[in-house]
Amino acid sequence: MRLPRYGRDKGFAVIMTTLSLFATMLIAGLGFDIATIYLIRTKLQGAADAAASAAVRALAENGNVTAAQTVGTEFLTANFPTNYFGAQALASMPVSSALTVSTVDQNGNAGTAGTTATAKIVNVSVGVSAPLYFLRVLGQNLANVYASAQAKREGLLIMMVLDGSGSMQNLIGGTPACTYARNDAEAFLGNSQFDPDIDRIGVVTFSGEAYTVAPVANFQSPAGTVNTSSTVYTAINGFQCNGNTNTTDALQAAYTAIQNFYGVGVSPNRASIVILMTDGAPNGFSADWLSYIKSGSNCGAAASNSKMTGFIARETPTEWGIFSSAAATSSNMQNTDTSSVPLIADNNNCKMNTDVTSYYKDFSQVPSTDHWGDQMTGGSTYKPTTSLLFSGDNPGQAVDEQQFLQLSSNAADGRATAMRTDSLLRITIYTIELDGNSNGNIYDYADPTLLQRMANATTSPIYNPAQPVGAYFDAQDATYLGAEFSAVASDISARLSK
Amino acid sequence: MKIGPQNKNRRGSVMIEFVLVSGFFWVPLIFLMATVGFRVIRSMEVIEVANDVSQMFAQGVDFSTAGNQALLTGTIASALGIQGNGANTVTGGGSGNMAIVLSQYFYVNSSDPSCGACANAGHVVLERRIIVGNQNLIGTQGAPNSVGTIPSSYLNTTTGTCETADNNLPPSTTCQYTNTHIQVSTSSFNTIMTNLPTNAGGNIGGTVYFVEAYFTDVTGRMIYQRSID
Repeated sequence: MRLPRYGRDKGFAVIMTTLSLFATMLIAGLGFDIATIYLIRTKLQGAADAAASAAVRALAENGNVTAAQTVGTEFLTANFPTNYFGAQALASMPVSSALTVSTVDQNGNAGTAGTTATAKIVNVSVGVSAPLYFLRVLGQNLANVYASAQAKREGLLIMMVLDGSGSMQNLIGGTPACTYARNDAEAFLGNSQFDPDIDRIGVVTFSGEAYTVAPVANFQSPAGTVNTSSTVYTAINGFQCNGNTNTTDALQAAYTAIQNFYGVGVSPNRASIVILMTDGAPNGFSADWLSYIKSGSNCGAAASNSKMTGFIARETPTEWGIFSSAAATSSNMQNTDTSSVPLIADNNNCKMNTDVTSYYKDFSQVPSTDHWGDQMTGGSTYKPTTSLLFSGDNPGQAVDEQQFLQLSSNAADGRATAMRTDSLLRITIYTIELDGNSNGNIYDYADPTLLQRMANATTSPIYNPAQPVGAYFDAQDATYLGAEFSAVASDISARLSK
Repeated sequence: MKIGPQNKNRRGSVMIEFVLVSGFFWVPLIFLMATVGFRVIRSMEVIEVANDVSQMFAQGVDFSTAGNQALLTGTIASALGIQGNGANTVTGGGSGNMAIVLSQYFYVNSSDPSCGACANAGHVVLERRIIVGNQNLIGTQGAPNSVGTIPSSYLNTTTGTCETADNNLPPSTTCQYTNTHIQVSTSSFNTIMTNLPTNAGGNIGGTVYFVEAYFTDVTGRMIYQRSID
């Protein structure tokens, strides 16, 4: 018997509905389970990132690897709560071993602590099993979810630039400021924020001249305490104070030391930092004077020797002159300003025994740039001045002390700018102003605006966020120096963790 | 063509079945799927916003400034309907679907030379709080309240930091060591805070950056996520 048409279709809707119901539930279940997995993975990834950051922050505060791993693990568990959406840590990837810290060289290969190592890498690798709810019908109860993160504690290359000018001999509570500076700089070396495996420090001291008394080297024992046998510690321990404030040459000496460490033109493998501690305004600079000697002047003998690159400075209250510069070229005039050499020497009869106004007798003018190419005159300088000094034989038109300081400040400002804008090295400058050492001279007062400019501090009138941003600290007197050095260390540490 | 009586009787039955099946099964199912789907997507977005903002906060991004708040509301969390604070720089606005609370906690270590025997020695303190977005959402619909408060009399409404009237000392430093109003009960807080200083190995207590995100989805239900850096 032939069935009617609708008789043949009877039950078809039920079958189709059942099938589509099954398919829909399967798709919906798949979607739900996948969404859950993604949710867990997003949370897990955030936790891994936070753990890596926290571990690096801990490393920056203290080089202890075990402590950093513990801190990182705590952040991992804090950001990924236990049993989050039913997820459980994989037995093969226990949370306790999720963080590893490795020491690497500049190529990212395993580095030897204290020698080839330039950074520490924190790796976080974590996995959990996420429960599946609907896909169990297909026999799949769990899905493994993984996340990984990496963060780096970059090595440091720090050049400490310490002002050893005469005003540092002033007594604070019966103790010379110089002694405070020496002790606090030594204490700085022992800061727990430094990592002996990857950090290096060098030291420049300066007065009228600048001396790289310790090239960049290790300074802590493997345990993280001060290595009193290191060249760095020894150099600071022998720190003495006398003479002028040739900040420009000091900065250049630090710059050269950094370049020498990496090699000229070589990309740096550490964060390059200069810490300048000074108690006075710059009152000395190096320049090339040969073209400006007057015929028949006292400096004629020097000119005949072609040794006219040196710093112009005031060595005693009554003696001014142009002296050699340790940081200048090899054709310098004789060395004058070390602890073992008499402070004042007659540089081939090119010393003025009266005062600054005597310069005009020997030189027609001051060069518009210093030896390093820093602009000292003109409207674009920190302290604009158009005077090139020594304008004729009229003492009344000769440079006064204020102009002398302006030129020196402009040179220092220019040198700091050159270091910050070195696109390869990207040197960050910290400045510490030491107050309380004034003898009443105008150059005895450090210039806070200049120091903020040099650091490119956020408070600087020429603050430029595109350049490395340092910081400026002010010590009320020498007894506060230790606190300011600690503040610098903390600031460096905070930046490393970012 | 003649239509038989049997076919006449079945006319419209498919429509009825469709309505019944749709009304009782498909529509609720699709609605449920859409709701769950949207909520999952939103949850992931909220998690990512909390993570991103927390990382930025820990890395020194100052969300008390108008520029960075605009970055947050206009870019980072713009898809979640967050509104700016208006004139309330750090205390949050009153509109929008989202609030982000940025808190900075500090453990005052008893060994900290700046503390000595200070009033907050051994305590976790809230040293900074910035709220961006709808402050009315905080602590509602079962979501937890942010831990700790800075009383308005001590709050710098420009920076969100705790400050005292003593201008001769670093304000935040003074406040975090001496102002007992900003102490946070460690029992209500993750042990991460009290463990940090020991693990960090220094005398100075650790700082934790805590970001909480409160978001109400299209159904008006709350999604709460937090991130600790």
